[in-house]
Amino acid sequence: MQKAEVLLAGLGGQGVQLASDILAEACTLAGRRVSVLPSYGAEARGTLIRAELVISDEEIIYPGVLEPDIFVGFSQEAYDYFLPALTGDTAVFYDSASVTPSASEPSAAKQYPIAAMEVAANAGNPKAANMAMLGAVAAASELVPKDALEKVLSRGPKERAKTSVMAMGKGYELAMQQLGT
Amino acid sequence: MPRNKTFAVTLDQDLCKGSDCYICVNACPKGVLAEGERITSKGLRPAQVKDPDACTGCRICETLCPDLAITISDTSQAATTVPAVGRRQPASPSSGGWTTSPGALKPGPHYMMGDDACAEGAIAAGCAFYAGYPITPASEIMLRMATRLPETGGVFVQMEDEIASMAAVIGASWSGLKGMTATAGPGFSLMMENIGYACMTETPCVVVDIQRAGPSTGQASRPASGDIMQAKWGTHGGVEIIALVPWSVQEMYDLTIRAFNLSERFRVPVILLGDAIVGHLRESFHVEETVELFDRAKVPGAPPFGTEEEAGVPPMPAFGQGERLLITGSTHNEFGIRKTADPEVQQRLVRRLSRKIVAHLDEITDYELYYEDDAQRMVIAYGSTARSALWAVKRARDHGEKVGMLRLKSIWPFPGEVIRQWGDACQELIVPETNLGQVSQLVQQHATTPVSLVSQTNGEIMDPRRVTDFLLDGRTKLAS
Amino acid sequence: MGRVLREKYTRQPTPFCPGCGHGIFLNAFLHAVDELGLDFDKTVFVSGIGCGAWVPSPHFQADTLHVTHGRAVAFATGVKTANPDLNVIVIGGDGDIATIGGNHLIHAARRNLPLKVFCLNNFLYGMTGGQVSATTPQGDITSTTRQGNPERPFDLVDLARGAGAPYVARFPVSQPRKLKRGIINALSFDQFAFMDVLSLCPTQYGRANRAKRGYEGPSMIWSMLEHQKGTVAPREKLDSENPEGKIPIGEWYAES
Ligand code: SF4
Ligand code: SF4
Ligand code: SF4
Repeated sequence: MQKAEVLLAGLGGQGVQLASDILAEACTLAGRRVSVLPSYGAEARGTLIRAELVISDEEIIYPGVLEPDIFVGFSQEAYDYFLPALTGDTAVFYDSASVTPSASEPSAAKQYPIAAMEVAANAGNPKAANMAMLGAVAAASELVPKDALEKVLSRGPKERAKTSVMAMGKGYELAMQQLGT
Repeated sequence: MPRNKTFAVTLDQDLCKGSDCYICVNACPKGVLAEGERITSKGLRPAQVKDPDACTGCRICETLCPDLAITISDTSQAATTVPAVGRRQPASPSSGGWTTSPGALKPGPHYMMGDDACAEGAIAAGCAFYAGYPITPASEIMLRMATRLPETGGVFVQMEDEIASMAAVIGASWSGLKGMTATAGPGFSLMMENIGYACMTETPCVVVDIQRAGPSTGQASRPASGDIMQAKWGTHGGVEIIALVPWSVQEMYDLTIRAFNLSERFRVPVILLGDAIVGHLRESFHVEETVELFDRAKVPGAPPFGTEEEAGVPPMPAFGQGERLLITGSTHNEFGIRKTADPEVQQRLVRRLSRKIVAHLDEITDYELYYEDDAQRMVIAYGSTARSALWAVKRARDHGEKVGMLRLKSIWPFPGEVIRQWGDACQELIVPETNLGQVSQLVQQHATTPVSLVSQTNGEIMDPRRVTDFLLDGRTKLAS
Repeated sequence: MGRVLREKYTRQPTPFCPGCGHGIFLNAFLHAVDELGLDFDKTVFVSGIGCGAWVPSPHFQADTLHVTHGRAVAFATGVKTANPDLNVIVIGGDGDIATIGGNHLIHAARRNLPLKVFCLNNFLYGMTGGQVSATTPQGDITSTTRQGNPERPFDLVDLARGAGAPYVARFPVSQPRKLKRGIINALSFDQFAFMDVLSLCPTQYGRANRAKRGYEGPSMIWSMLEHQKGTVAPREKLDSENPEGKIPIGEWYAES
């Protein structure tokens, strides 16, 4: 059985929920089972938001993330909140523009900075930083096929689809370089 | 100048309520009507026609009589004949039953939120009416229905509160449509009186309760399963209903369809007891090519509230078919005629309302077994908690524990016999719940084996590690 | 006509007290139905709990939905939206429609579905023992206001108009011909219609307020009818001045 637990976290308004939905739809398209447990509470701008994804090729029993394989931190708050609990088995991606990795409390987790905001700006849509992060997730897990992500991202209005696909592809590249595969 | 007598005055003394009224006696300007002399067996002294010849045909008496006891007729004209009013035949009498429908969503895999899948299940089940009121975490069902019903030719109304929502759904059901509402804790409480009305009037309808942490406003967006008992006992009088408990987005879809079928089949409100987890969870699920649907029988002339069988489900005509339906929440006979002081009718009705459900327990009961073959202990779980529980059972199995699991998909009527059998076959039954022990009490009632409750009431999904810890700790307990 | 109406439209005699104003309304209503030729096979009467709610159910030979206290208008909303071809008529008392059910009334008026709502206003709860309601005049005696009602009542015409009802009317049972005309107008109106029917409850209201209101004579209901006639006047006459504080009756159509 293949299974990946992915934890996405950021602030309200950063597109955490949207990113998790796109990831989930791509996995569904690729014939995987996927569940997304959204964070509770009012998803107001500025509050800590998380989405727990479980991707599997079998039926998903417990839909929450207990031991994340991948953690994506969209903001400093999210990064600081979740990092201490992560182990050496978690691949951590964070936006190097908005997150300063903690120096005082070295984490066991393997950490990979992704210049997501920059990638998004270069692609022509500063709001597509979350899409760059999706590319990184695809690079880190065999369960998330990049072509399915492209398909889902291509559904929207043309211009936005183009920038999203571009940002995602760049994020994928940046992650691949660091993951060394 | 002598006047031609042209009016006949008839006063039906059986209908007249007599001296406490005498409106006509006081009203007649010509003294035609007078106080009565005769006292009836009911102790009334009806008015009488004293001087019919004086009647001018002004009809003041006729229009004022509260009991339609007076008829003034113009004798110079032909006698008024009352046309016989026959029953109109319904446009499409139907014997109801099962049919196969193509469904509404494209067959294959879909990815959706549980609340959305519930709405899609309703559309697939032929739901054509939704009335509701916004409430977290059920509002998404209403949002989707507000879009989907107009697309599919159905009717959507946002009502002023949950009382009205439930009322409107019942009204629509008698207009012939399959109807639904969805709510959560506080709104569910408000719906209770009319859910009881739906039970009493045998009105098919589906009520979705996306349970949230209570009591009262509690934690509006967090899960719990505190409404299990309320679903059954929340309405007064003590009556059977059906309640289903989905554990996934797939089942938010499948069990909503089943809820409609059961409600049509048994003419009873069916409650889908979700929670904030399965409501807001997004998941991939599968849509089949076709959907099996059950429709209520519409048989003209048949008594809509009674059958020969003690556990029977009578046919249900709709409004506007000339059936002249008498529908009431008061005790009634098979034709809907109120019998509010008849012990026999009350007993027969209450018995049948219960028997029609309980006698079909096997048809309604739905559950799944996991690792049950050599199980010495069984976890009994339901809803989102069952996902945490199954995760825990797998871990315990990894540790060599002979633990199995029974997952309830229907919770009312309670499948006590199934519980009894597993109790007899095992040394312990373990019930994890996100309440203070509602189903565990029921399990205890039916099992002779020890029953343990693993309770969590912190407004979070049941922590699977909590259940694992219990299962692994229990090993040492059992050994000693 | 009495016999014709009985046989054509009713199932059985009513259980109302002798002289009950609701019976006079029933009489006027059936006169209106007959004059209009309203198809009872395509008409649903929805009513809640209380004496007024018993007018249609179980008495009328049409589809009748006798529901929970106060909720008739909400049930009717479901019936009508699910099948717009039906004539949907709500009949009930002031306790049912304007007190416990007041919220549904104002929202139905706002929503403006073509429902017809007749509130048989006898100023208190009849069936449950003469308690104060939202329309009991200030100072009146009820079983829960022995010293006189300290609260102010709703003016149902103002309430319904304020909520947006495009047709609002008020007629007293003491003027059955005007009442019938109003019912015909309400039933033939193509939008939401509300009528405040000034009814009379001799048993509860009459007895409790006999001394206060000066209801005289052996037939209390007759004295109440006479008294009622004296308290009302056509709204057109009152628009300029109303020194005696008469209750305006008539029809109010929304300017459109
Ligand atoms: S008005 Fe009717 S009920 Fe009253 S006394 Fe006359 S006949 Fe009898
Ligand atoms: S029709 Fe007029 S005159 Fe004749 S009995 Fe009735 S009230 Fe009297
Ligand atoms: S209690 Fe009053 S309203 Fe009720 S039937 Fe008697 S008189 Fe009429």
